[in-house]
Amino acid sequence: MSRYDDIVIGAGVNGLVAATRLGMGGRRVLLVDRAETPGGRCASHEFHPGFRSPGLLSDTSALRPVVLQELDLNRFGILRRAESSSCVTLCPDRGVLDPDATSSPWHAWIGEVAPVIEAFVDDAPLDLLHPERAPLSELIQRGLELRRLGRKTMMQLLRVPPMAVADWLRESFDDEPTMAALALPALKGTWLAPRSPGSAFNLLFDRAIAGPPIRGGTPALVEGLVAAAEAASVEIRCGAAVDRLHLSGERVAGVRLEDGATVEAERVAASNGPRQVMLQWLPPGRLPWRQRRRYEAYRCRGTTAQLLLALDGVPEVLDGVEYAQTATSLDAIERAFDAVKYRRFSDEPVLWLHQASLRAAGLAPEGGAVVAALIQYAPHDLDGGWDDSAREALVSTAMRVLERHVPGIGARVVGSRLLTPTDIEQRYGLEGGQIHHGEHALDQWLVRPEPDAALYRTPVPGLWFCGGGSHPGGGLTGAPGRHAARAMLAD
Amino acid sequence: MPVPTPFHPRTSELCHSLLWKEWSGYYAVRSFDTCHEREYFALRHSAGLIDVSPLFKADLRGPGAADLLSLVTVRNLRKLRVGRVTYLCWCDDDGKVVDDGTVTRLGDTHYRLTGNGPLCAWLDRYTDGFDVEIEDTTEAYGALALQGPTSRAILVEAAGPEVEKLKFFRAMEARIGGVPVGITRTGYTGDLGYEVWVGRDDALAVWDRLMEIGRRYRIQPAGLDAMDVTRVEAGFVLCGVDYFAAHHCLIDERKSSPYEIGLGWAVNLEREPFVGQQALRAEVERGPVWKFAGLEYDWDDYEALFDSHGLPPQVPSGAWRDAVPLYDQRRRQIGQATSGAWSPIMKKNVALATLRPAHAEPGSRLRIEVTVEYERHTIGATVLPTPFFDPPRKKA
Amino acid sequence: MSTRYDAIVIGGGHNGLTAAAYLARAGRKVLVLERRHVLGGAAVSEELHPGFTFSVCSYVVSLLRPHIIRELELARHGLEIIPLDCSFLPLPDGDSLARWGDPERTRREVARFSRRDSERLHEFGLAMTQLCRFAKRIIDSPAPDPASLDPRELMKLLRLGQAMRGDSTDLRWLNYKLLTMSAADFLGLWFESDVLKAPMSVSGIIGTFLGVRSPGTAYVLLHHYMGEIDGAYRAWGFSKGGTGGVSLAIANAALAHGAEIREEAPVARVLVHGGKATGVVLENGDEIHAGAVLSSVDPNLTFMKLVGEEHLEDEFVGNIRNYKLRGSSGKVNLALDRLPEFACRPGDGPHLYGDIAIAPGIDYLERAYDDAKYGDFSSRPYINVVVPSLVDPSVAPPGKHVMSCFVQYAPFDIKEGPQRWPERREAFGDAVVDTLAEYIPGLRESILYRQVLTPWDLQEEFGLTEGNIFQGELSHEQLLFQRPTAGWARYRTPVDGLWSCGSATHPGGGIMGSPGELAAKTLLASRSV
Repeated sequence: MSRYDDIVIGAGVNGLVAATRLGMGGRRVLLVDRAETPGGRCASHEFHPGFRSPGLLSDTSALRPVVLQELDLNRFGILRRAESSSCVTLCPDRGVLDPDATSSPWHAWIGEVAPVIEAFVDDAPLDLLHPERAPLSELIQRGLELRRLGRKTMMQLLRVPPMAVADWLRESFDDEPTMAALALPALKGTWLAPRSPGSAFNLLFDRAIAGPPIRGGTPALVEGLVAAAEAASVEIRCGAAVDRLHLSGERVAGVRLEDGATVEAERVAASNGPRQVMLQWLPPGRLPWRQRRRYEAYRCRGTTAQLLLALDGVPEVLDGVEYAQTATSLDAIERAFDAVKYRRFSDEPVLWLHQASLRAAGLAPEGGAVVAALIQYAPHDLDGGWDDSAREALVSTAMRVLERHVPGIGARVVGSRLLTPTDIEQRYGLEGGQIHHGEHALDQWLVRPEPDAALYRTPVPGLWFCGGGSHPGGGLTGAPGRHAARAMLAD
Repeated sequence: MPVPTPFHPRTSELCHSLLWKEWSGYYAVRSFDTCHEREYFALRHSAGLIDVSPLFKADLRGPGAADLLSLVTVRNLRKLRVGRVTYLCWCDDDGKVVDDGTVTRLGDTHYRLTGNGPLCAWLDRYTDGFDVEIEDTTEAYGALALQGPTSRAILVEAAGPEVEKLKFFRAMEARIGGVPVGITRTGYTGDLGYEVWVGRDDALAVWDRLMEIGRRYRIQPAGLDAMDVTRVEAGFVLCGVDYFAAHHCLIDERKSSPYEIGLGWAVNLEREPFVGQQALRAEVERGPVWKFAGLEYDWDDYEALFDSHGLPPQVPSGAWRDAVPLYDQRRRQIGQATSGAWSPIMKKNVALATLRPAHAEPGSRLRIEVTVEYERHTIGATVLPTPFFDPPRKKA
Repeated sequence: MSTRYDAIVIGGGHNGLTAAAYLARAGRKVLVLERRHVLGGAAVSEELHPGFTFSVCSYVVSLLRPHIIRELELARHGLEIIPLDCSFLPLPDGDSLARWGDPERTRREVARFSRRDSERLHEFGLAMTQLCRFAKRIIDSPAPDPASLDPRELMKLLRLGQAMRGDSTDLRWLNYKLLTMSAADFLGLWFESDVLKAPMSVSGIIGTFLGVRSPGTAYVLLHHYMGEIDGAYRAWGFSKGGTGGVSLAIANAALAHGAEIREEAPVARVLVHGGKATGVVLENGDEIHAGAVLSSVDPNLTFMKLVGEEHLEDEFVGNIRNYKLRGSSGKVNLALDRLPEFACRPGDGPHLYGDIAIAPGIDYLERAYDDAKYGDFSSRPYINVVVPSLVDPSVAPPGKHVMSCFVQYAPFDIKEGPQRWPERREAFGDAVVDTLAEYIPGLRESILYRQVLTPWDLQEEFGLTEGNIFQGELSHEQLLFQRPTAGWARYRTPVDGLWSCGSATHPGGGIMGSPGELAAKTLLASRSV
């Protein structure tokens, strides 16, 4: 008899949430991660002596209240701040522009429909391609929830998701820097630009579920989640990279680690990318072609590079600014995106900035600061590859753009590290360097990752998905981990 | 617009009837003469030479070749020895037949797959994780079928005494007319016969040599019409006529499992996973919906039907493939006969059919539709075991 | 003068004529008013140069609904469609690809570029045919209303859902992908080669201001395969005598049923009294009264110009303003004194008898789109060329030819401002001819006459606001129950007695005839005339 009931792969937010929830449900859980420290995409690392990264994903505003509640995470030091934090545009001419400074009808409308989006995220997902499998009462109930918005609002809600961000925002706003500030946070990490149909769904989704960030940021989040997991008797093993799944007959019965060891369990729940799990970790021919094809079609094209900056002081423009971005128009974002279609990066990329050290202690020494910049758009499959000259070119391009929007920042940089999409793939185990474990696009969001695995159970007996490659996606919500664990406990 | 095969310069010269058809985009002779009969009799009494180059071929090389083929097809090919050929089919995830053909093990890690339809895109679905190179060799090789009682003698003289020892469904290499060829003792006529595989540039040399030697043994170039009659006599299914490739079917009802087309014997079911295995297991448990069987028309009924119109009994000239319905004794439809022929050598009017299992046992009586003078009738027929014609020389 | 009609149809385009024909067939007294001197709207043939008949705007018939052909007996009234058998793709490196009706021939050609793709063509066609079965249900009836609590509506939705029931998970997944993916990515589910994906995906962006990599462009790929579903009535081809032949056949059907048609009778306004449409006023001041008025022109013209905002609620006006038009295409029509010869496949031949695409790769197409995003026409555009005179000699003098070139992208909103389009017209035409001349070396010297239609011209001459050839983008938020806007997607308008029957209604643009037919049938079912 094996020592474990369930093995969870990946100690990121979703993996930790799933493992903790399973542990709370009485399962004996082993949580493995290839990295030396837990946290997944939120794991911190020292990128310059004395300066730590807040992780690849550092904005904790999407973490689901219901996750905090169910796992009693307050007890482990995870607390929400009092207020949300806007992303502002740094305009060279007009200064800092906060798009949420005044509430507009657009803001109000999002508030009105937010409960429906939140229900979409927090309720157990419906198998949308097999509605006949859901009890009729469930379908009716969900339909009525939608209808309760009122006919007009409901129609508006049906209208928005397939739209392009540019079209949607231009119906309510004229000011380009305002619209850019609203758009870029939702577009980062995607293969979408303001004119891409379906991008409005990304924006609606992000805005509807956003709340105040976690006090202490990602470091506090990871620390708290680890404590919660340990309190639930989860065994956490870092530095243990999975090589492939271990099968017993037709069933998945454990994992084979890269060091050759096999660990057995009744079930395995993977929080890493489903494409990698199905196409690389199963023996050839195990997966029927019709499913194989769906995983091959599941797109993971990374478009993000991360530039970590260690500063010896905060430039004036960034004083008190937590989240900011450099695009002053929607077309600026669009142009930056165009390059990626041709496997290049633009010489006017747009940058999303997080002054992580502002609200998270321990990332920078006294008086210093850490700014984590996500650069859009940088292709994983760069023409010619991410060699040294390409890296240097991207860094200097990004710094040039930054200097324009944050004058004086260059002089403050004492150290930096660039993570190209290939570095991101390496470090965080993200196929294609795609930060969400699979692109966030309408065709990969409503049924995620594919119809036979849309409810966390996969077609391979004993194998489950519990990460960002499942509903409701790869942001920092903790929702996939929670849903998967609940489904596994109910199994 | 069809294109020529490597043998076209010879076949076109000899096809005085100008009766051609299109086979996988190639010109193929239906019959060299205005009637196929002489070619048929050559196939059964001396030797016929048929250009079968349009068959799709793929060469698989590499340590993973046997495993890949064992995954993709219904057979465990790891047990196939060098120099052996096996006939099999392959299925989709639902256990429905995509194509049928042969696998020949040419070397330690070298296999050749043949089929009625294109092979590469299908294999491509499964190659991930296997150390194997796949080359489409459809165009690279010409192929000739030399079939009939004198075929062995011809080939021995053309290719050497080793041919004498070549057993049924085995392969060997040889030289004909100075040119390297592959020879397999296989064929589609259900008789003693061989298939000769030659690089396209050397094709004509081989044709010429075989024809030259074959003259004394009464060799006859034969077309597809003649071959069709022999294959019906042999009880062989034809893709596109007796069953349809599953991945080309618009509706599920048109698809067939191996058990429904008489190829259940080719399935090695209980072994490591292969494509369609789960579905095939389920089918074996609940029983297939259809079965493939041979039929013989009641001659007396048939003759009487024509006689009632004042006509002598007319048998189809050549093989037919316009399906006709089959009924039980209570006139309920139980299937369809999908191809058939008058067999000159057996003097029987036979058909190949897909019908409900309850009626498919040899000896079962049923009724088959026959149209005479624009009127539809049904007459009696009996299920016979296939092959209808199975001469000892085929395997000797 | 005020003879009273049962219905007046504004616009003698193919939809307006279809609506009129159905109404007349049902015994109503119908009058069609067309602004131009010739009928057809954007489905029109004109002899722009002596001896040469041009399909001025639309140039192939694709989806004319079989039941409309039957019900209006269009074959009897002169409709003749000559099938398009080939799709030809010349390539800059001197190679080319032709795809034929003959599948084996196509397989061999494609195999030169990718063996795998050549073998998967059949499966792709099969999958598309299966997907079309569902689409056909949606196209051939009025759009279902998801917000309605009316039991009849819910039954319709339920029936649609049940139709899906028999579909395998795979087919449902493909349907979902078809509705949400980009054309290029969707094709990538089967194919790897650019030479297939580029020309096939570009049919997903015809008349749309999007790129082949833009999400939501895949479902338009269905168009080509709807023909399989239509079976023997499949209408993917040239209309004899040019596309105007379709409109004329429908006009003949309408006349045969007793409708009245007037050309050169531009309408200035719709008469609205007490919130009800009672007729129209022509530009010459004449008033004509009718029990119902059907407008086949786009919502912008209909509501802002012909009706007037004062008769409409603010919210509705706002929605119509949000209705996206933004034309993205132009047309270049050429009269040639000889056969256009492609250097990569010289001479006359069946490869020229179908459609010819200048679309040498997906990157090429995306760059063409990029140009337009920022206010310029594509310097190297996508061009869809047909030479109908090769199979229909009636449209040109012997030995001479008509070359019809559909061009994308030409954005209505060029950076100089749309009204400055006339100044850019010739440069746009030159860009097209220059591009073509790269493939057809002798082209320039053979041109006898050239007509260039920019989006501005499509607006000014053909009444297509902002030059959108479908009277509105075919994007999801403007389709089905939202075309032209939610609540008004069943041919009625907020003005009692005023109906919409053009491409700006369900099921949208293209030469289908459905908007006209469904509007007429809905009007008849309402029993208000």
